Parts: sequence; structure tokens; C-alpha cells
Amino acid sequence: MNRTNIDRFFYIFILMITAICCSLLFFILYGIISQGYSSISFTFLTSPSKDFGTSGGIFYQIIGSLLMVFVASLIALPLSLGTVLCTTELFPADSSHYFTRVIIFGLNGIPSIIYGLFGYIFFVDFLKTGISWFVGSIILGLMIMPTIMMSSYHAIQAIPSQYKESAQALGLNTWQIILSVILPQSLNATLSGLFLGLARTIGETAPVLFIATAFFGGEIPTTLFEPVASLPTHIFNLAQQANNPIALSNAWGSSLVLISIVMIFSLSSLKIKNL
Amino acid sequence: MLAIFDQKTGVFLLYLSQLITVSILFLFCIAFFINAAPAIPDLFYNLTSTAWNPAENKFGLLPMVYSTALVSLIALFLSIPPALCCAIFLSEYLLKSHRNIIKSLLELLAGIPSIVYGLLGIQFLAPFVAHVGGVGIGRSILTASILLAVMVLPLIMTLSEDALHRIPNSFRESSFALGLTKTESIFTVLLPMAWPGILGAFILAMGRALGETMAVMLVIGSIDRLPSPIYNLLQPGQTLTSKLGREFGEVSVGSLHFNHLVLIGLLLFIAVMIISFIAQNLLKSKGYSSYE
Repeated sequence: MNRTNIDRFFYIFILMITAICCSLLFFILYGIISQGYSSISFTFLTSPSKDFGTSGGIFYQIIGSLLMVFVASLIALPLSLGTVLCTTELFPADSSHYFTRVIIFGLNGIPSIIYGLFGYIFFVDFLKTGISWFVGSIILGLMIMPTIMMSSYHAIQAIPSQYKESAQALGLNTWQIILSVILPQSLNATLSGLFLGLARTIGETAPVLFIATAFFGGEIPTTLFEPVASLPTHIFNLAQQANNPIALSNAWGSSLVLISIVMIFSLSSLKIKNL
Repeated sequence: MLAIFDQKTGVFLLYLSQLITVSILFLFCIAFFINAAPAIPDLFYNLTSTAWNPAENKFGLLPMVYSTALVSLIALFLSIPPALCCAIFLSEYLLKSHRNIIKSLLELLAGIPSIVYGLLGIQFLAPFVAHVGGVGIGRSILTASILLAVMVLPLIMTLSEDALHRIPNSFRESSFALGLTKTESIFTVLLPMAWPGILGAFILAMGRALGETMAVMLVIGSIDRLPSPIYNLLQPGQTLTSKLGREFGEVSVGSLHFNHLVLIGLLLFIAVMIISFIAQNLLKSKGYSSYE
């Protein structure tokens, strides 16, 4: 075999492998859609679950998941923006770069179940908050933070230095520069990071399993300190009863809904980024 | 809205948020160390012991550590070759416009929550393994490894593709000018240059695989013993994460059992931290900067 033939052979070989991988991933998507499609109906989406989730719908689970990530983003957005602005605008450049990286990769690298353990040890046990919506939101907020910080940090680094210099020449102080130049310029990237973070965390089961969700939770919580129902834990509970075909079909329906929400968040993140 | 704050309050708020973020990281470490402390003296004995029975104060960790290492290594072993082939194809052969489309599609697929992978594992993979392997209901170390391999494949692919794509075009052009074919240029020039980044991708995927809970927990079978014989992949096992997921909700706070579970969490935390710091340093390093 001469060199050109090896070249062609290699091309065909990796083309095939790529095709196999792509079709495998699309098969996964197809599997989820085809399994979940049959159990989704209007009543499934709008009625509460009954009989430990094996019959009825997933209305409270959807609302619960959305409520939890909504409060999580209220916590994570100001905190991560503040942290990034503090390191980029107030700290000297060298240390700020290193510092932000340590925080981002520290938070990003922690496995999700470890967040759950932390939430249980610190909030549920030490602060005696009980299993509640609020604790789940705090922990999910921590998990969103690295994504927001990463994208807003890069956006702030990319702002041309003339913008800041002009603002300084106009006599603005640091806080005014942040408000009128840096925040508007990095807004898109920050929101895009937020949505990416939401897409990642709304599907998290392990962190909220012990700290926020009630088994087969029945109602919309009225205060922040009540347990909440969530889609991922609902799927987990149904998946435990794998011998029951109705439970399994409900689990697939819930999975399809969950994935649609994740996709909506990811696509909005892409859309906002390219605005 | 924020304009109501003057310079002093605004800057104070920024410092405050920084302080909160940093103190959360410290709280993490403190909470884990305090709660794992009673279990630490026995750690070295427990790492070599195989019996886990909280009622008799036996907390052997060897089966879990072994299964965790085995599952992640096999998952990486299965997913690295195809992921690397995909990365090479996307970066070097595909048109730029197609590349972006396929890449964002694969990244969307990477966003599928792990619980849904677990469900796929229960419904499709476990019966398949049971059928082919001829054992039980198919919940085994091998099932968990295959599932993890599928889960980390997009991650390895995207990151190593980034590493390949970052190499400046001048290197490709020079190697063509020297008369190398595309394959030769990939193997002799591009892959060696992108190697630190690719290695970083593997190590990061290793960290992800170690920390993955839900999917593994649903398909591994959750039995605390070493497989017999030790290389038998078709037997159920228990990883560190699945142990936590199965038992953490039921344990009473403050008992020795609780302390040992927190210690498992601490071990996992430390291992994943070390791994991701190594990976990040590799991913940051360009590898080719010395040539420029």
C-alpha cells in the first residue's frame, strides 16, 4: 500500500467511525423521543401525579423544577457577576486572572453528588432549614455560577481598553464605569452563560435528591421553606420501579419534557450569544 | 436600577460577593473535614477491607474504590478511540460551516441529563448486556462502563477537537509544502502538537466519569463486593458515587455510618479536584508555543 492509498484508507476509516458515533448519539435522541412521545398528552402535562407517580401527570414536577432553577438564577446571577467584576475591575490583573480561574474550576470540577452532600451537611443538618425549595435553589445556584462566571469573564476581558479609557477621561469613577460600560457590553455573554448553566442544572438529580425534593411531591410550595417536586427526581423514582410498565412509560414522558426544557435553554443560550 | 448605589456602596457590594463566593469554597472543605473526621483514623485499614456492614461497624472501601476505578478506566478505554477519530474528522476534514453545525448538535446532545442516560441504560442497555452476556438482569460493571463511555464521548470529542483546531494553519501548510499527505501531517505534526490539550480532555473526562452518579447508580447493581474472579465485568458492583446515592438519604446524621459516607464524599472530592486541576493546566497549555 503506497502513501496515497494509506491516506485514502485513513479518510474512509475515520469517516466511518464519525458516522457511527453520530448515528449512535442520534439513536439516543430518537430512542428518547419515540419512547416518550406516546405518553405525552395535554392532560399528562397539566394534571398532578397520583399513585406514587405511576398514574396522572407531571404538572407539579414541571412547575417545581422551573421554580427551583428560577430562584437559583436569582441567587447565582448577582453573586457571580459581582465576583467577576470584583476580580477584573478591583484586583490587580495578575492575581485576578489566577483567582478567577481557581474559583471557576473549583466550582466546576466538583461532582454533583458532592454538592448534594454539602447542602445536606451545611443547610439541612447544621442550619436546620429542613428539606426545602430554598436549599435546592442555593445548591443549584452554586452549580450555575461557574458557567456564568466563565462567559462573563471572557466577555469582560474582550472589551476594548479604549472604552474604559474614554470613560475614565470623562471623569467617571469605577462604579460608574462598571454600570455604563462594562455591564452593558458583557450583558449578552452573561445571559448566555446563565441559560447554559440553567440547561445544565435543571436536569441534575443527585444534588437535589436529599435536600430539596419530596417523594412524589403533590403540591406547589407556598413558601420557600417547603419541599418541592422536581422532574429529575420524579424520573429517578419511577426508574426504580422498572418492572412496572406504566411507571416506565411515565418516566419516558417526563424525560422527554425534561429534555425539551434543556434544549430550549441551550438554544436560547446560543441565540443570545449570537445576538 | 443599580445606579442608586454610589461608588462606595457599589464597590462594597462587589467585595461582598467576592467574599461570599470564596467563603463558600472554604465552607465546602470545612463541612466535609469536620463530618468525616471520626472516620479518618481507620481510613487505611478500610481501604484494604472488603466488608461493609454499618450494623457491625465494618466499613471496608476496597470494593467501591476498585469498581470506581475499573468503571471509569473501561469507559475511557471504550470512548477515547472513536472520540479521537471524530475530533480529527471534524477538525481536519470537514468544511468549517458543517463543522460548526455538527459541533453544536453534539454539544446539545452532551446536555442530556444523566438521569435520562440512566433510564436509557435500564430500558435498552441492561437487557442487551443480559442477553449477550447471558447473566441476570444485566446490571453490571460492564453496563455502567458502556453507559459512561457514551456519556463522556461528546466531552472528549469537543475538547480534543478544540485542541486540534487551535493549531495555526501555517503548520498544516508547511507540512503539505514538505510533501506530507494529510494523514502523515495529522500523525506527525498535528496530533503531537495538540497532545497536551487532548490529554487534558482525557483527564477531564476521567474526572467526569468518577463523579457521575445517577446513571451509574441505576445500572451497576449496587452490591458491595469485589467481582469474582476479580476481572469479571459481568457482575454487579458498587461505585463510590452510587454508594452515596443509595445510602446517604437513609442514614442518621452523626453516626459512624454517616461519617464514613461523608469520608467517601471527601475522597471523591479530593480525587476529582486533583484530576481537574491537572486537566485544566494541560488544556491551557498550548503545546506549540515553543515553536512560534
